[in-house]
Order: sequence, then structure tokens, then C-alpha cells
Amino acid sequence: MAKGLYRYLRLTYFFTAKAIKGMLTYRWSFLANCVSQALDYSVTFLLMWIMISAFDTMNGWNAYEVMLLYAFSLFAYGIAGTFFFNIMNLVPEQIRKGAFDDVLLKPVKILPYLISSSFICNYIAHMTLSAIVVAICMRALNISFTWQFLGSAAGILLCGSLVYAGLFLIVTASAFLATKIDALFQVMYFFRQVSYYPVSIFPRVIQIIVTTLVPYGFVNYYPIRALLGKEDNALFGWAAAWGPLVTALFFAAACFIFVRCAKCYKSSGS
Amino acid sequence: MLIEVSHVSKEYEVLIPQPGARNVLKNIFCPDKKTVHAVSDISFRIKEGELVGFIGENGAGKSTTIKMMSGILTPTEGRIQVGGLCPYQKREENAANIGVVFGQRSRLNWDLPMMDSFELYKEIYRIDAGVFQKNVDRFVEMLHMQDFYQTPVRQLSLGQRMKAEVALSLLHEPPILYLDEPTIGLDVLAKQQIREFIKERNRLAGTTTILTSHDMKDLDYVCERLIVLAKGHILFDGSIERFKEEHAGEGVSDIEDMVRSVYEEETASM
Repeated sequence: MAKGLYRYLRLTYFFTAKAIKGMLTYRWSFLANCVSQALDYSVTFLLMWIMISAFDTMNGWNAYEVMLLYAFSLFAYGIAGTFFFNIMNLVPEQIRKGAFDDVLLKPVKILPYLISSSFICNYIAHMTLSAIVVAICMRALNISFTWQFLGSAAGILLCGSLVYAGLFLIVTASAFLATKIDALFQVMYFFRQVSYYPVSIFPRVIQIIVTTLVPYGFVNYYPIRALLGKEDNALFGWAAAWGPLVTALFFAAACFIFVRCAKCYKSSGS
Repeated sequence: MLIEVSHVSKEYEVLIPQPGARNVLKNIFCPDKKTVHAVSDISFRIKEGELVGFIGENGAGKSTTIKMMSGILTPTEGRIQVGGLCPYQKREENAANIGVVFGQRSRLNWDLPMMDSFELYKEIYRIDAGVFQKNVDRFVEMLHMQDFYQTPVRQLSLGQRMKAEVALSLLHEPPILYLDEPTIGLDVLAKQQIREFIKERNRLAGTTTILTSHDMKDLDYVCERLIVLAKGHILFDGSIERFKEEHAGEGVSDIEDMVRSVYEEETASM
């Protein structure tokens, strides 16, 4: 097991190195992409800040606290996207064209190999911007930058990225069963918006969905609510401690679904 | 016996959508289906070090057979053993023992020179560093790739890319090599260099080689044995010499003419 993990970590290192090398051959395009993403999300942050400032608070959450939620969500999305977005982006097309055979012809386990080989640099802008916004919010909210805070933040981001990674895998897994997955991706993207705001502002049924079925709530809301010591009328306000378990289980379930669906590809016609 | 294929059949269902607007609901919920018999009850054995050519018209079942032997597809009936392993049950183990070249698909990293793809393969196939370097040097020399070795793959011609693909597939010194139309679209010089390379590898390393091609000169030069497939059945399985003896006739001395007459006979008998 450890030997396997080491092997795939090594593969990840090599694929990442090649991905960066490849990116450098198109460095102007890459830079332009980063700048446009940074601008895109900066504008979103600004608009959000203006909107919330106008309302003073959102269910007890002030503008900076809401921006903190959004920044953590974006950061986690960036981490997950770095290793998993390209799986969702490329694998369905490979399945359709039969190019997925090339993965099956290698002496590797499918899912670890895909994770190792799908590194992309595109999310640097997401993560840099999110880090800057977190720093600004911490200043404004008088949160001190301690090692404890850093540890908590790292933990929250890890759990959050597990949720997004799981979603990328589930959306991709559906491509083994059907050919088009656009609708599923749209649904996922739509619900992602929920994680940008305090979950407690949404109706009960949404709160239940994002706490149980698709645990967006554990990406940022529940852990940050606990971190900031907020008291609002969330249905599952006490849930923060369950974050690591829920997100890990969700990711494990997504991996299981993915591997199971991949078996369908193998035994169907060419 | 290195490869043993026993009474193998492969069938799959194909949906037949009926035309017309009034059939839309039918096509979605109760579509007409047809069973395609890609391969029907084929059996053959391939010894270590043999050079076997697979030929047949388009749709005869060549690619399906190769996919089953390489572990991508599971037969509907029958059994396949490759080096004592069942390739579709022990896909990962089997993959370490085979090299595959698909003429119509590329596995090389598009943006970087071929060496980067070679290095990735070194990691994926866990090739010893000394063996790897020796093979790279030898293959570059045998395939005359010195001039374009450092050029990004996207700037290479088809012939140059194909040479790199063939070299890539043999880096890990697999005992078995499958080539699915490796010379398609290549100029005569590139074709000859690849044929010579394949033959030389067989001579030096005893690589069992299974080649499908529509270019009869490939088969005539490289292969000792011919398996002719038609509509999923084996029409002929024997040495190329015997094929030529059996099918030589009035004005028919070229192997291409012989194969054409076999296809025409088969079509006529349907």
C-alpha cells in the first residue's frame, strides 16, 4: 500500500514537472489566462463586498466574514481543480473517442494514474487571489495569524478540496455510463454558488442537501462558523467537528463510484 | 505457448435509431437493438518470438481481437491467456508485458520533445535507468531520429511521430508488441525504416510481434505467419509462404492481389 502510494506520488511529481514545462512553452497564453481569471474573481469579490455592505449583515455575517467564506471556497476549488479538473475535462472526450484505451494499456491503476497525470497550473490565480482576500479579511476582522490558525486553515482547505475533488470524480464517472455530462456539471456548478454565502440563509431543504448529500457546507461554512465563533440559526450549526469525517467519506464514496463506473467502460464494445 | 486464444467470441449490442420525429420517444425508451458479432469462435496460438500479421477487411474483427488480447475488452465467450495471465482479468499485470502502437492515435506529449514522453514512460513502466538510457540511444540511432529528437512533437511530421511512437512502445522491452496500422499515412522511406526496426527488435530481443496493416508490403517484409479474418471468422492461419502458394494463380503473383481475391471471394459467398 505504502509502496503504491510512493509510486503514484513519484508519478505525480514527474507529470507535474512535465505539465509545468509544457505550460512554459505557452507562457504568454498562460499569463493572459491568469490575469483574466484574477480580474474575473476580483470583480466578483468586489461586487459581493458592495452588496453585503449595503445590507450591513447577512444573517449575522458581515461583509468581511462572507468574503472569507467565498475565499476559502475558491481556494479549496483551486486545490481540487489543480489535480482533478482535467480528469473531468478530458476523460469524457477520451471515452467518446476511444482514447481512454491508452490508460487501460498502461500497468497502472486507473484512478491514481489519472490523479497523478492531470496536474494543471491554471488555478494559481484562484489560489493567489483567495489567499490575498483571506489576509485582507483577517486584518479587518482582527484575527491574528498564528500557527494554530494556519493549521486550522490548512485542515479546512484540505477537507474542502476533498468535496470538490469528489464532485469532479462523480461528474466524470457519469461519462462512463452515458456520453454527455454537461447537465450534471451545470447542476454541480449551480450548487457551488451556495457555498459562497452563509448556508443558514437558505431554506431548510437546501441546508439539508448541502450538509448531507453533497457536503458543500463542510467546504467553508461549518468550519469557519466554528472558527469565528459565530452563532446563527443554522440547522446543523454543531456539525463543524464532523467535517473531516464527512468530507473524507464523501471523497471515498466518489472514488468508489468512479472505479465502479470505469469497469463499465472496459467490458463494453469498442 | 505465449498467447492462447480459445473459442473466443465477442458480441455487443448496437442501438438502431429509427428516423422520423414520431420515433423520438421510441428511440429514447424502447430503441431497436441489433447484436453485432464482431468475432465468432476464433482460436489460435502464438509462440514466443513469432511475427504474426493480422489482416482482414475493415470491420473483420482485427482491432476487436487485439483489444481483447491486450485486456481492454472482455470476450463474450471463450478464453484468452497471454504469458499465463488472463489479460482482461489481470489488466495491470498484463500491461507491463505488452507494448502497443495505434497508428491512428498518439500517446506522445504534444507540446514537448519526445524525450519528455520517454521519461514519463520510464516512470510509468518502472524501467531501470541503465536499460532506459541504452534503449533510448539505440532506438534513436536505429530509427534515425537524431535530427528531430529535440523538436516538440507538435512540429514533427507524421513519419517522425510514428517512429517516436514505435520507439516509445519498446522502451520497457515488452515480450509482446501489438502494432495496429503503424505505417498508415507514412512515406515509403519511413515505412521501410519502421519495418526494419520491428524486424531487428524481433531478431535481437525475440519480441513476439502482432501486426495489423492494410499495406501488404508491411506484412510481406515483417511477418512469417498470416491470420486472415473476415466477418469475425478466421479464413486462413498459416505461413505467408503457404498463403502465397495456395493463392497464386493466373496473373496473381503479388500478395496484394491475392489478398484482394480472398476478400472478393468472401464477399461473394455472403
